[in-house]
Amino acid sequence: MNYFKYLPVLFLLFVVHYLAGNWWLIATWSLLGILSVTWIREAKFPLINILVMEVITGLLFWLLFWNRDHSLHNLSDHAGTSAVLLPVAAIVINSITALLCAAVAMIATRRIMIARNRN
Amino acid sequence: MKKAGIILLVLFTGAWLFITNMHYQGLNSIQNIAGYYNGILGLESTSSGKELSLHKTGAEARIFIDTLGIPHIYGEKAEDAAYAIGYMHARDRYFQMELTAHTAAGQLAAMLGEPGIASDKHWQVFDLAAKADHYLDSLKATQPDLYQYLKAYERGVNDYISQEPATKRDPLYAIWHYTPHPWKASNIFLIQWYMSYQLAFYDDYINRQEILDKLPDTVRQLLYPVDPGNKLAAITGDKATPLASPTEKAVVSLFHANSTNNYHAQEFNRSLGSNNWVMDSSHTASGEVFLCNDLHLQLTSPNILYELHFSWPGIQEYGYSIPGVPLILTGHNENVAWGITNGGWDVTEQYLLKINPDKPDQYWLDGKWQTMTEKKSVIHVKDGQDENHTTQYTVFGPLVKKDSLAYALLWHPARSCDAVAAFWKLMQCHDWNSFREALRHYDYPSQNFAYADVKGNIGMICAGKMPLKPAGYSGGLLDGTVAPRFQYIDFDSLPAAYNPSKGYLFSANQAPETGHHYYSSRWFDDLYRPARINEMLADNRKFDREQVREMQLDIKDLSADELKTLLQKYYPDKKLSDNWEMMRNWDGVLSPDNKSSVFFMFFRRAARIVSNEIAKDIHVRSSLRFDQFMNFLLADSKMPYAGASLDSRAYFEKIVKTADSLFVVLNKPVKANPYVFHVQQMTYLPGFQVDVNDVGGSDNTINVNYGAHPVIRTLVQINGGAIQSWMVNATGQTGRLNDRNYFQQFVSWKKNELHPTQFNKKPEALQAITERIHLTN
Repeated sequence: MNYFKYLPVLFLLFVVHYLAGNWWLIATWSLLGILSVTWIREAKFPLINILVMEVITGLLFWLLFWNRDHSLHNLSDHAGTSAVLLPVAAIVINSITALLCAAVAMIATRRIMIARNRN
Repeated sequence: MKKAGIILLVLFTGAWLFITNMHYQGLNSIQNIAGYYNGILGLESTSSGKELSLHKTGAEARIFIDTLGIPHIYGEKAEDAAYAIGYMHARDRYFQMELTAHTAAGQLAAMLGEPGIASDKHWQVFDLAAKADHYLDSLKATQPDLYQYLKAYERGVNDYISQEPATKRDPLYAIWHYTPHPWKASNIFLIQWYMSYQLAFYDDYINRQEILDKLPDTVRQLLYPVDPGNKLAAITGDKATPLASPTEKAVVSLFHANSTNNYHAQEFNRSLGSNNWVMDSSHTASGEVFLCNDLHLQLTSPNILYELHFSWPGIQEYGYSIPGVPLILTGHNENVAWGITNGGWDVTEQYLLKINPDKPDQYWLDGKWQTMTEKKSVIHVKDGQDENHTTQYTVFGPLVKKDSLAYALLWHPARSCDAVAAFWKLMQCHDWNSFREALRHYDYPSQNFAYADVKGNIGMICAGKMPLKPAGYSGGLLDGTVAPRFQYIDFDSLPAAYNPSKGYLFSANQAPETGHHYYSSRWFDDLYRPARINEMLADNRKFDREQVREMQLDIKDLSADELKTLLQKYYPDKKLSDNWEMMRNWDGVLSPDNKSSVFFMFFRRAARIVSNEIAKDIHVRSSLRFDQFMNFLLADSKMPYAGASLDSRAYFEKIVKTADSLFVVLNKPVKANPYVFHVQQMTYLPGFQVDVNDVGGSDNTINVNYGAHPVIRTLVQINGGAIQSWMVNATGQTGRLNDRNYFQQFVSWKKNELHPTQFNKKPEALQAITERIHLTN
């Protein structure tokens, strides 16, 4: 499997998370579901790869953008939770949405392609 | 099978997207809040720990922010300081400022969505947003210096908001799916009205009317006495001839002996209020003057007050402001210190109307039918449909209908807003005379102002605009068939004291005075807290600062002494349960970990239950308040009424049995700790609530912890002509959930570890400064 194909996916996810709102993200995750059928076809587990990309994107934001000392730790203190729980919760929510949107788009695309091939 | 799986997946995905993208109760969607960059985790707190220079601001000022987040502002002139205060208020509390102003303007639903509709319906009838704009315009001519000050403040707020990057915005905007809107200088008046509402809006007149109508004088005096006597008014002493004598009678009639009161009336939170006391050098160890102030309000995070230090040539101020109000409400300047408590004056009126049965938009006034005016208003609802409303107005105010009852609501604070100008003058006062003159036009909410100056003088003025009531009035509804007079007690007749011979003054929301004018919105209430303060101050000991600080933490409830009296009176020899025998020797200190104090709260619960039974027995809706009930129990009465007997002893026996049974059922002092309370986030966000179980106290103790709590405490010491102060905020300086200053002072507050204030005229003398902001023209 050529994992380099996933670098543009990671880049795309990162940029959309940075610039756009939630509905653009949903569109992007769905697009990835379509691409997993039409472009990244050799992948055995395309959805898991999309999930991994989403988690990596979240981790990158954690490392690069979330201000731990001046924001995240304070927020978690005041919410009475650990400073890990909040980022994990955000990543889990986004990952589930990514997985579901991609899965539906992927299945729909496959069925359309199968139907076309039959014709 | 495979098809069913796909259908299930699609359905589940749809449900997931619906749930994670819906805006429930005005809140942002889960998906938006969890966004990596635009959600709450991507937001940074404001504390930068750096030096910042801002040019072309139109102001010349320097701001130094210390480790508690308290700004120390040095302006070249008043407007410069106002600009800087606006900048800091916006930086730390802009969401709160908008929330408060939107509430009073009747525009809360536009900010919070559906949860704000009920509030908007209530507030829009007063039409305060338009009045605020009008009042600000009038200041241009009447007080141009204040007008310029408020406009400079507005610029400071709006400059901060317009320059704030989205990544540094208060997380509450992301959580509530809202963006900051520009500030208007006139919002300051909306905030005054908001505070007046919190402290001086009453709605229990129908219940009091029922008592006045149904109960004979003897029964009413026994159970619901109006006048607490001349025990502990804030101001005591001889006065001129009374203008209105409280002979306690109903002005109108609404209920008959057998009629039922089904009208809803809102009970007032009796814990709201405050303590202040001031003692001169005759009571202190080293000849100092001490002035203390605790403000008892609903404890939320952030709370309503904001610590602030600012100066411009000739003026230096330190104390607490309200975000949106660039003025010191409690604090000091270089000559004078002051502290406030709520007066609780009766400034709400409900006028019983006679409606034309043929034309429901007409009411009888001064011998003829008058037609009500109508005003249409719209409630804009975020993420929802606008709601249209029509309000009918009489000469008194808006019409209120409750079933078949129609009354007009006259809330006097809605008719003026002069407190802002009074505080502006108060900040600049330098002695007793200028202090008095500053308060001459003070209106709402009525407050008891404690005073101390650098020359060692002390004083108190109960200030406000008290409407004159008909002779003999003592609560209940008023006659809506006669035009209102709109007359008020003259300022020079208001209760005031200066350098009293006893050497101290205090107020704790008790009556301002007795036997002169009618003031109190409450009947026979709040007696134990003033009594405790008086007991401590009247003691011959000489206080030092540490003792004064400890006094603010006092949790001794004097009603415990009365309970012991009751036990002695009704059970002098009889052995009671262990719980009650324990109470005989208890000192009345309401420590949360002490079994006696826990049982005492069960006694109070039992007293409430039995008090409700009495109300049922005598067919009125209002149960006796605790102070009234204790008064009745101590009276040892056996008054016959309605075929039964109002027997104090019998009711006390019931309380004894009820408290025992409650305590047996819930005999787990730790789990059933009645002293636990919660500090809620100001918009009641789930997850940001803090439980407190180690403070103790009640509504009767100096350290009030019940429905309200001392949200800030101040201690001012004047010695040798110099003013020093110590203060603490119950939560923290900022309203930002992701800032370290958000809940920073909470632990100190619980122990009343007041921090010394940095009241320094020269910025070089400031310590523990973490940020510097330089504003230039």
